[in-house]
Amino acid sequence: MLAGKRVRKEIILAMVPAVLLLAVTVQNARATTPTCTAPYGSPSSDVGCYGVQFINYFSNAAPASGKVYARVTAPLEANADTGQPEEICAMFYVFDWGEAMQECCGCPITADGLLTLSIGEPSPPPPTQGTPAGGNLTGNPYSAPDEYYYASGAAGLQDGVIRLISAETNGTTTPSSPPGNESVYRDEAGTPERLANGVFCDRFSGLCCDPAGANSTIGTSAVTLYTTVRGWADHVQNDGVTNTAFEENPISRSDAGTLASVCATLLTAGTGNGYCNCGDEFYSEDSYNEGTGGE
Amino acid sequence: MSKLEKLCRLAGVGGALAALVMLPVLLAGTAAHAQTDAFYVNYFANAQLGTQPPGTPNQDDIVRLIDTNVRQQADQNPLCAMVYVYDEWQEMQECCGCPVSAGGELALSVDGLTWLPTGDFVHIKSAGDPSLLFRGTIKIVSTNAIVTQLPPGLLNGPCAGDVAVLCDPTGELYPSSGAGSWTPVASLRGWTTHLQSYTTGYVTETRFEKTHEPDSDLPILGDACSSVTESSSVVAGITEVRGSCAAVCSAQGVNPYNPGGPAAPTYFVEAGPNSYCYSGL
Repeated sequence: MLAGKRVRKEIILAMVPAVLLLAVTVQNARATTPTCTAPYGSPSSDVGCYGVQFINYFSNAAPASGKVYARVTAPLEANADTGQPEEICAMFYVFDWGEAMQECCGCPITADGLLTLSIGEPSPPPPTQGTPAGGNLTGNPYSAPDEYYYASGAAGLQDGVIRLISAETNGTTTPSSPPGNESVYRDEAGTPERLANGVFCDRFSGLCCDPAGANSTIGTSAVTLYTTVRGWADHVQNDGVTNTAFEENPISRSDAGTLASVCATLLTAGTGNGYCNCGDEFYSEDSYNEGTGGE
Repeated sequence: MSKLEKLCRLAGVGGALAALVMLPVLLAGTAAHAQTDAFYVNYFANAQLGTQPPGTPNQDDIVRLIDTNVRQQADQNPLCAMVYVYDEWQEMQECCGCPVSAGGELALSVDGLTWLPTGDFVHIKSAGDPSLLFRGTIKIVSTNAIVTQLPPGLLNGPCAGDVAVLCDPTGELYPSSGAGSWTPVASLRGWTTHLQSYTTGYVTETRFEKTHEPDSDLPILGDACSSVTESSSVVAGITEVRGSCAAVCSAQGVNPYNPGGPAAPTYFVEAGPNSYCYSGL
């Protein structure tokens, strides 16, 4: 009996430092490892990265449901001490209810900016700009089994899952607007330019986001996870609209690579479908026409 | 001693040694980019549009913050909810520091927080009209407050002569180092409503999301706030101090700038053993 108590005491004593070590290690990993850039040697060392994948759903995105929105911000400040960059990519991977990826796109977002993309019928392209059309996540599916066709002729997904990955910019182009003139060309600031299907660039910095990474025809580097973004999505319910934050889910680098690889098959198929649109939802419209969903 | 006991002893000694060796390394890493549970973010949409179309009831969104008082008895001083309001193009448009009494709740009008943006792009309007700051983000950082006895005098505002709680969102009034310097403090939690459609009145609500931001972001926010609050403009003969949402702090969820709205208090006093006078900066 006495020996049994001693054993339990020893077990508890043995666990205390182990738990302490584990707790500090986890805390430290969250505090000081914003990136998952280090190469991994084997699947066993490819542990989940925290703060880089966020998941939400969309529902009832049918023609009669009106338009609702997903919103994403990059709350961390550009900070020389921590290496936090000014520009981050919000990589979207949109799945139908049957687990098939139907759309993907990479949207640049600057610190404290707000990206608003619609769910439901996409906006028509702005008359003076050609591209991009109003931002939309569900209106251009690759081959959706549950797609809707809107009055505009565009197809759209009804229900599914949005996986949002926070990543470093992974491409560049010649910016179309003069760098440093963001305050002059403010109405263009929220309209990333389209470099290729699903690949969008900041029109001032020329930094681009390729959701397929090096798998695509233009990708120059892989999707590198980087803790930054936070997001929210509206949900059309049977009676009205609700809204929740994207839920954080750790993701391994290999899983992120798989997402990029599948995305590449959509972008390079050449059908013109399978990619979402990062354009400013409100650029071509009255700036206060938001919020028709659930009416 | 049984084999199991020996194994446990070995594991215990080994674990303790490993912890002793690794802790300084790991803690040093943490200190390099210290994070306090003090940085939170949410978005706003349809701000300034709650009165559209004209003649319909005002539908303002409300930010609600509470001090969870996790400090318990260690520190009963009031906190500051530093509020930084951005447009959707990442520009800080307004900022203010709102005192929150220990364990207290704060309600902030989103129309109030977005009424006087500093940038012409979202400000152009006639005096007394809503701004054009419809969408953007709100970042809340909970920090320590400056608790000080203000001398009597008009320049010290409504708190003159009282023990005042000051919250300076630029950080300039805080000591630059040492005791009382500007520091993130873990305690606040927040929510905001979202007017989904001003035609139907649908409203949703989400909590503020923790950003896991390094503490070193605080002076960056303070510097940006300094430049924002230096602007002012004269519209229709009325000078407006733009970029500050200070009047919203004590307005208890009401938009203090709305000409047709209810009157909003500019300060409040907490009675009790510690009598504090709260107003915004």
